Amino acid sequence: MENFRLNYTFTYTEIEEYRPLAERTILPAREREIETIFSMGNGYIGTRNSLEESYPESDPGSFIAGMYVQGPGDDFNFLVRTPDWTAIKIYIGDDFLNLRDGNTLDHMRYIDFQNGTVVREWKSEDEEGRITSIKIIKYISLAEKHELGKLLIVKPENYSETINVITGIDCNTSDFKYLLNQNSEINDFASIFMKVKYTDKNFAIIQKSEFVSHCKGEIKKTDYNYSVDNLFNGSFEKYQWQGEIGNTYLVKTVGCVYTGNNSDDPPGNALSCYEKYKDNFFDRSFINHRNKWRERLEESRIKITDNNYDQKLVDFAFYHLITAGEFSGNHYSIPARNLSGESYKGHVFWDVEMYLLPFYTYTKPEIARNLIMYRYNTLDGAKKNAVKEGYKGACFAWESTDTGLEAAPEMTILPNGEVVMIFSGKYENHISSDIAYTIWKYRQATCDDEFLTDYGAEILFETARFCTSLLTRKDDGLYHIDEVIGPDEYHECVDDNAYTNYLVKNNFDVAVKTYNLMNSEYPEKLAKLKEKINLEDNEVEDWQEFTANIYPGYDPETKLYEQFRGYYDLECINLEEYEPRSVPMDVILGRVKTGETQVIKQADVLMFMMLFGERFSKEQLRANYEFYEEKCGHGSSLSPGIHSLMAARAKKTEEAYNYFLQNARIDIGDAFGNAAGGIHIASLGGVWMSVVLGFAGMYPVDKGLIFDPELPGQWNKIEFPLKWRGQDIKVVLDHREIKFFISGDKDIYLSVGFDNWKKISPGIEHIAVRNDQKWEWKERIYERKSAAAS
Amino acid sequence: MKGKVLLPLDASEASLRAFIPAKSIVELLDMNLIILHISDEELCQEELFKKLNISKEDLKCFVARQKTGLPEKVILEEAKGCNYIVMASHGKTCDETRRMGSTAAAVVEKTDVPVLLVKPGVNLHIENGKWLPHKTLIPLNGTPGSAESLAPAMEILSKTHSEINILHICVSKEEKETKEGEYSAPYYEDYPQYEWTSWSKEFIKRFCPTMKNHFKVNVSLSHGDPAQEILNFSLQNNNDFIAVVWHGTMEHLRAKTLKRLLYECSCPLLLIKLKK
Repeated sequence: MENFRLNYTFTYTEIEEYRPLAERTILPAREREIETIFSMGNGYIGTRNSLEESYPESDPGSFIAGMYVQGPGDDFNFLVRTPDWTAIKIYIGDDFLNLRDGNTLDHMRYIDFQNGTVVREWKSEDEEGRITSIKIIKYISLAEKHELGKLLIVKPENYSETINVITGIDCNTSDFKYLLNQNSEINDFASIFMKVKYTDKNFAIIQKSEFVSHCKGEIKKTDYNYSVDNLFNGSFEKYQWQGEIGNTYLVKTVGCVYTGNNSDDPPGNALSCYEKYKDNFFDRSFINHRNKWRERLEESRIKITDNNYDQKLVDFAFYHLITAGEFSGNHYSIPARNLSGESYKGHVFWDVEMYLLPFYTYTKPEIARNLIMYRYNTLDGAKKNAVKEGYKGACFAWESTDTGLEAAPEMTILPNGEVVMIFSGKYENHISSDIAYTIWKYRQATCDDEFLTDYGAEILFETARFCTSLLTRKDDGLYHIDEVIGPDEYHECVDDNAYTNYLVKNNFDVAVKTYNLMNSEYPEKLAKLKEKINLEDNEVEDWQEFTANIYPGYDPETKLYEQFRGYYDLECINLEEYEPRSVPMDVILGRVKTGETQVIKQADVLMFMMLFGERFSKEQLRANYEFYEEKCGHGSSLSPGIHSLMAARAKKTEEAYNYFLQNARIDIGDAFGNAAGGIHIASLGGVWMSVVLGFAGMYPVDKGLIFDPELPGQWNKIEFPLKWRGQDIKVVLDHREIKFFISGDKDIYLSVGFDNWKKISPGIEHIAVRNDQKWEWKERIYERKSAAAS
Repeated sequence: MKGKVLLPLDASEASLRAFIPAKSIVELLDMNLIILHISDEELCQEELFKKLNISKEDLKCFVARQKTGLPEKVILEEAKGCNYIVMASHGKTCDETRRMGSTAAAVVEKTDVPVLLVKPGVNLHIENGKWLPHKTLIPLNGTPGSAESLAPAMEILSKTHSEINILHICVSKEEKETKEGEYSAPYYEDYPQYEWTSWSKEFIKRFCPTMKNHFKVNVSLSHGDPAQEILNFSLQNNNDFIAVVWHGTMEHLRAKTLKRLLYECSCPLLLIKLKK
């Protein structure tokens, strides 16, 4: 269907190259996977992209961040599935238009990257020979937290007939075990008001549509009948008109979602959204969304020259990263599968800190701040977790929800019938130090001392206290941490996990640094905080002592870190002997046997070497990469992204590129059979990490940004924007040259290669050229107006 | 028009093992039973039933046919238009050292109609004169084609209260030809407590959409040699019925799993050819 006018002044345009993905097949078996891949969201609302008329194989659902429920029989709370606002049914005469009856002449679904929408185009010929073109465009607004939109365009191609459209909010998809429909009615609106059983949570979803008809590109008045049906299973607007051959009919809908979490009157607040726009509300809502989308794209997008396929992969990642983050944070965070599916029950893991925060911190730090604020707002829960386990301070939940209380189950049944205990909630303690790490990295990238002193410091001090509880001083005079689980969850309850020890050490270190900073620059705030949390000076002195004396597990001769004490004694398995395989190694070997081998689930030593990359020499990096990479079974979807990054840093560029592809395709390929339950949002964060922190070789350090790049042979040039200490940086990189365009008001320091620092001023283009593997800053420096102008 | 179930009987005790399963399917699905006897004798109906050792009173809708000719040829001809063939794996010559008699082997390989094969020594779970599966095993390889082909098995099971155990067997060290919509065990298993629940749900929705509301469906996963895994699973779980989709050729080095099941399986097997 051609571009079309929404009203007299605005035309919805699409450009083919802005379709990162297009799905033409309709295969019932893959339907739930497609719903995930094309899902929509804005961090507050998330919706699966189901076929609007719904089929038995469809699994439509919307999720509202923070809408966690827990029934009397549930061990933990989880994110409840709410009604589906995307429902649309079209009738030509009395005949229901659907993919089962008649002949589908064309069908395509795609992400429109230019407008930040998802689009479905469908041309259908029914049994009477009537051909109808349909286009449906949907979005969840990035400009207005509570808004969403859907646009239906119907064109009778070769007939004139009565057309009926039912568009509304379908409650059949919602979980009535936990939700009560309050059956609210609002004149001329489709409206649903639901209350959560067992709690006082509630939410409202309302929608209002406009009808427009076009004849030969001009808006034409067409008479239509309109009514609203409020039923127990949903609320629907109904349109009926006489469709005429060749004319185009638009039903433009804006929906609004409010919860009792942020409103005393959810339906009333939802209604105010329309009052704000008065008329043409869809057009205005859509344009606001589109503009915000383009702005976010400008702030974030990585462009890869001359490689369309890889560009599509990164664009796919950006679509979900941008839409996941916009309104997330503060009282909720980004669940493991985003708001795109019910797998993982909407629980929040370390994925946010380790795999998503890098993207937000260096492209949109406000979002990073909000996501860290979620941890601050669940600090009480973390303190309760610590008390429950007999620890001091704050122990953040391995699986977190709105309360911050631990929500990881203690056991599960595997598909082979085996009952296994789940220890991650109890022993995967590094999550608290992971959070501490990101607070310091956020502050490093933003100089946001207000955040650090008002919120971050309290987390750092409480997590340092928690870490103190983990330590045992042993005969060697060093502090050890026994019985933990590191990122490699194949080995449970191990002693001196190198990752945990390193992160705990860092936790103490940044807590002391923060204390000293506040002591010298913000003494009043420090005094208040000390009083609030009863912090004693001797605790801080202890932290300093611990920092210097935690068991490192490092052997200077081999340059290897032992993943945990006793790891080298385990059976060595040659993973190549099991290839090709389609199952995780612990399924092949069994969980117990796997734990007795050196096979690891994901990067563990390599993970902390990634986080603190600037502290390790190339020799250390290569030694550990080569040792652990061949032992990694990649049993976690988080694994390939980090291996791509680390291989790139180790200058194993081809290997890094292969891991990049493996990671970027996790959902798109569905080669691994679990996209249906929701997007692997952390893996998509890993796409950004492997390009910027891996191939572009960026190391953020206290002084500034280090770049040690090595592009894969498949790419000629990449460019990407960054935010660093309030300055906008545009980086353009090819195989021999790197250019920086900086706009802002402050000088920053950049190093190309290590110890090759240069003070960079805004408004000037700086170039470094590779000369025989060494990077040299070129003298040719000329002024540019701004990064944006480039 | 009612569906039809073809029951070839050669008057042997071995062939008669298929009678109750055939009769039960007919009753479950409200179909007609076609009893087929192939011999050169000319028998009246009374004599035929006497010879076959079955009682007319036990049957509702049936047609008894006597034909002459090469048994496999006649059966294949009669099977056209039938929904199921229910037959014993062995007949008069009943050589149990062979996985099937020659007639059964030829029918199984040449027909596209699903064949419920009843071996002489198998356990039939019979209650009130009816064979009803209580625990059904369906090995599924995770391809849409094999799932789609399972419709005849689902048709029977939807009329029973049988527990349905779906078994997906992962094979390593084997390059598989991947097909669109294929679904195997997840290569990544981030957290077993969520991954497997989610995987099982999706597996059922993807391949057994008609069963997603069946009261007792579960998916199990194993790894190893498919035949061995199926046999082990069926023994451990007391499965009394197995439905298998296969490619349709017993040539040398083909259908290795099915050949072994035919030798060693101790319950009736419904063999369904993969839809082309």
